[in-house]
Amino acid sequence: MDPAIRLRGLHKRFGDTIAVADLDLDIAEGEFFSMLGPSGSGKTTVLRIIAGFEQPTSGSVALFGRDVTALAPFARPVNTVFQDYALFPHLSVIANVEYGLRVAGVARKERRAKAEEALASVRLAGFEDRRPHELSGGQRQRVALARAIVLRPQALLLDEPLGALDLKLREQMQVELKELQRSLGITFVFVTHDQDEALTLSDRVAVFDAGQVVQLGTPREVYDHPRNPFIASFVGSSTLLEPDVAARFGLPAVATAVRPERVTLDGADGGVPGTIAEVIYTGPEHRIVIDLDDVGARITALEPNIGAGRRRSRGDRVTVSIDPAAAAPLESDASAA
Amino acid sequence: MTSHRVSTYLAPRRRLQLASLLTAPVLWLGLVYIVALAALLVTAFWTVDELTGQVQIEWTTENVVEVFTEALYRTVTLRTLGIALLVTLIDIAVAVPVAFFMAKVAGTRLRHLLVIAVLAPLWASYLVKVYAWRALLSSDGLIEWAASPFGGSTPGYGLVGVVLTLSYLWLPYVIMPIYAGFDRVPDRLLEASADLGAQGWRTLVSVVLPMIRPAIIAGSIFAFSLSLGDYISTKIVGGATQMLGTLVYDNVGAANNLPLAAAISFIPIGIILVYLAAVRRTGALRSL
Amino acid sequence: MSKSPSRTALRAGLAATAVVSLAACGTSSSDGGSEAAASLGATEGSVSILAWPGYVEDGSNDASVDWVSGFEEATGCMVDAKTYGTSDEAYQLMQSGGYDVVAASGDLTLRLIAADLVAPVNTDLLESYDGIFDFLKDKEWNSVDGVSYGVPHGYGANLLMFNTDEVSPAPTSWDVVFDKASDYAGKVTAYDSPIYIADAAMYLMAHNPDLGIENPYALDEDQFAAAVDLLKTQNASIGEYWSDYLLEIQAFESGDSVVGTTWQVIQNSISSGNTDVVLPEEGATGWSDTWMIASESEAPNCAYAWLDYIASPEVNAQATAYFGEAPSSEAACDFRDDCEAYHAGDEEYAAQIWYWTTPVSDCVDGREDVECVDYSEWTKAWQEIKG
Repeated sequence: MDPAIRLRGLHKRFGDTIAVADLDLDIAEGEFFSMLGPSGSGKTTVLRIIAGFEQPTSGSVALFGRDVTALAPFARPVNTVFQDYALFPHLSVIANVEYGLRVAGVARKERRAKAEEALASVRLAGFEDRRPHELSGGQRQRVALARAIVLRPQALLLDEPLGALDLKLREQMQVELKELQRSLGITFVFVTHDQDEALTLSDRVAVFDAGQVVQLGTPREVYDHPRNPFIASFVGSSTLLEPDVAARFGLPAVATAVRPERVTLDGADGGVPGTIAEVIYTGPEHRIVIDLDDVGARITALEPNIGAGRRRSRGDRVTVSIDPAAAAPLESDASAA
Repeated sequence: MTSHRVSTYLAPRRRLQLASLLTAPVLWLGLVYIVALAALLVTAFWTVDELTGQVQIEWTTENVVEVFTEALYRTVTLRTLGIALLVTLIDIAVAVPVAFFMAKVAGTRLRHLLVIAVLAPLWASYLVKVYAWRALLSSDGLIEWAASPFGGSTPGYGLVGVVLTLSYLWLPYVIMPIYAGFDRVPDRLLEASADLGAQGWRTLVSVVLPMIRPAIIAGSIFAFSLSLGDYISTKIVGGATQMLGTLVYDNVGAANNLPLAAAISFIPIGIILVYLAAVRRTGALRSL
Repeated sequence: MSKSPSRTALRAGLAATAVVSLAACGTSSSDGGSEAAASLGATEGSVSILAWPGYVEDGSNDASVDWVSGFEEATGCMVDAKTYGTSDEAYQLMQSGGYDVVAASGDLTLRLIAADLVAPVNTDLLESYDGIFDFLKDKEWNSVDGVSYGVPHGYGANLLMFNTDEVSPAPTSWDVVFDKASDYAGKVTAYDSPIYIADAAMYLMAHNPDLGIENPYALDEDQFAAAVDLLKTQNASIGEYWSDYLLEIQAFESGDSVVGTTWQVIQNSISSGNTDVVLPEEGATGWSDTWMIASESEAPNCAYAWLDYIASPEVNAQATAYFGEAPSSEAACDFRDDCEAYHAGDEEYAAQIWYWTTPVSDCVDGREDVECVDYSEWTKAWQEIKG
């Protein structure tokens, strides 16, 4: 079966800047696919090329087996939810949602019914006659969503759709998005710079850096086995161990990333001794920074806040150990891509 | 801290500030503009000495009755109205695509060049431009030269000449607000429309035009009201055409009949008031 | 509220003046108005002149065109000149006062005289007056009951101009702009002024004698209606009406106009070479300008000095040549080489010209049994003709 989206040799240049460099990517049907990266990494450009708003300098875009590289946005079977929603300010909520159906020539009654259904699915029933400027950010976001899904696109492209929302609302919308994707069963291509969001929602994540995909895999693969220091530090937090330090922990003598929650303090079988330099209280857990003896390196550990029990403080002596299975040996930068 | 103290100091004096700021302009507007206009309109109810042409303060409605009953003024009013509407429509038809290209298609450099090109004619004297059109429309002018190989000919001096010239003269005043209107339409909305399946023309009709409607109306006010009052172009390229402006001009300049001229001026003032009232209802005045 | 004595006196004075000028009108004599000067005294040092453009040139427009400096040197009268564009504007300025001398066309002179804004002129005090063509002296536009109100300056006819390529054979009648105007539809031009109605009346005088028109400026209701109808028909063939002579030149050069009224100066200025002018068999309307002295002048001696100076052959030649009209004397032609083109001194030619005169309800042709249509009606009719 053809993938929902297939990009081949995609290259995009803006003047002297290379936004996307020779990208090959397949996104499967029904997949929740995230493109994660810092701003300027090329992820939004790829999304805009898929939607048809930008023409690639070279390379091709195929949707469901059909080459659409030369097609205008209106001729592509995908719809977009924009970062700033891009609702039509002169149209009511229902008219915004009906817009695509009206363009497609759907009869008045039918499009009204479909639009109401879409609004209900984003829990905005009753807001039909409001104008966009009368809505909150979260409500506008849902209108944008409803406006895109009412057309039953084969793939939905979302450009940082939650970026403008506050934390609480964002978390709530994440759940709703996931449920929506599951119920619709269509491909979601989700652009974000928020690694939490990407890990939470996605079936697969592509990590972008400087116009290239530096790692592609399930959230677990990307998180547990970052391929290079960039990914290790951009996705979640890690302590990077130099080869000699890794060797002290009994790990292979290569550069290694260690997640703080995988670091054990005062484990049964000893470990590397050190002194606690800092204890940071974050609510659900303690973040503990340890100066390791001898090697002159620091490592961060995470311990759950279980309320009772021993409480660590600055200057305490501890031993640090790492489960070899929990450490991620990194590839050298040259072979990262 | 300092700014905070300054603002608390000034806060109670805001009314005073506002008053000192606005008194002079309001007085100027009130005296020079409104009172002068009112004085002119009152003149319409006075009489004029037939021999000496002196205005006499003898009250009569004769001038106003004459203006509103005689066929001449009805004909000229309809002609003027038709010219003004036609000029407005032509200007909008030309300005919308030009402004769209400037705001949404052209790159920054080209856009700046186009803005300068649109505004440049405003630096030239009105008269120079009208005389240039006289030369263009002439039967040995550029239009005749360009059209004759295709069996066409210049429209010459007359109604068509007036419409063409006025359309040219007021075009910058129509392009600029519409350009600003297009500029206020985010590109994102055009993309959203395309994304939802709309082709170019559909986006224009369903998204862009509704959003720039106030800008179009704002531009139309300029083209319409300026055309309604024009008399110089008519004198130069109008051939035998008379407009309301030329009637007023002739009554002041040639006939020495200020009261009748004032009475005639009721017509365009009335039309403009009706037009502005209609425009006000669309809410477009807020975007001027 | 008490009136100040001075204001009461002023009002009384104004009332008296009004009575006097009404009496002057009623008896159509000049004895109630100002008196002409009997003799001249010392010049006052300055003189204020109101004139058509090109009549009072001091070299500021064109360094080679200057006859004011010579006057100032000779008389010590410093000239302060103002120009006007229409006879009506000149009338308003004269009413506002402050001018010593005015150059007026025939459609302005009678109004100035009737309103007592100008004084009779004692021509015996003017050396240059003797040389002036007799056929310009003591005419109805510059004298009342034999009393002269000024000195003739120059004159010209509103001629028929035609494009020699388009209008052939050369016309001899005004019918090319009236009865045959449709042959040149869209290319006929006419002077844009109510006074042009007189051109139609003059044409009817020859072609429709039943109307009994004796003078194109003295039209009763029926005669006037006939002239207006003729012009309304003509309107369908008019390309444009002209009042700016530069536009007229351009229109004939480009071929936008091929036939219509014109001035000699326009023919002289056209460079395309395919136009000609003719004085048609029906005659022509025209203008004859007169230098007049304001009745309230504070510098009558300087005013007389100007009238004498401007009528002197060399200066008159310069000024009329610059404007493009015939001079007022034979001697002036010694200083011009284009007198022939303007038919200067050609009495027969001059007799064919109906000089502009203000139409008033007292018919200027002497009829007393009817009222003539006055100029304000001419103005309204002119706008109706243009439609």
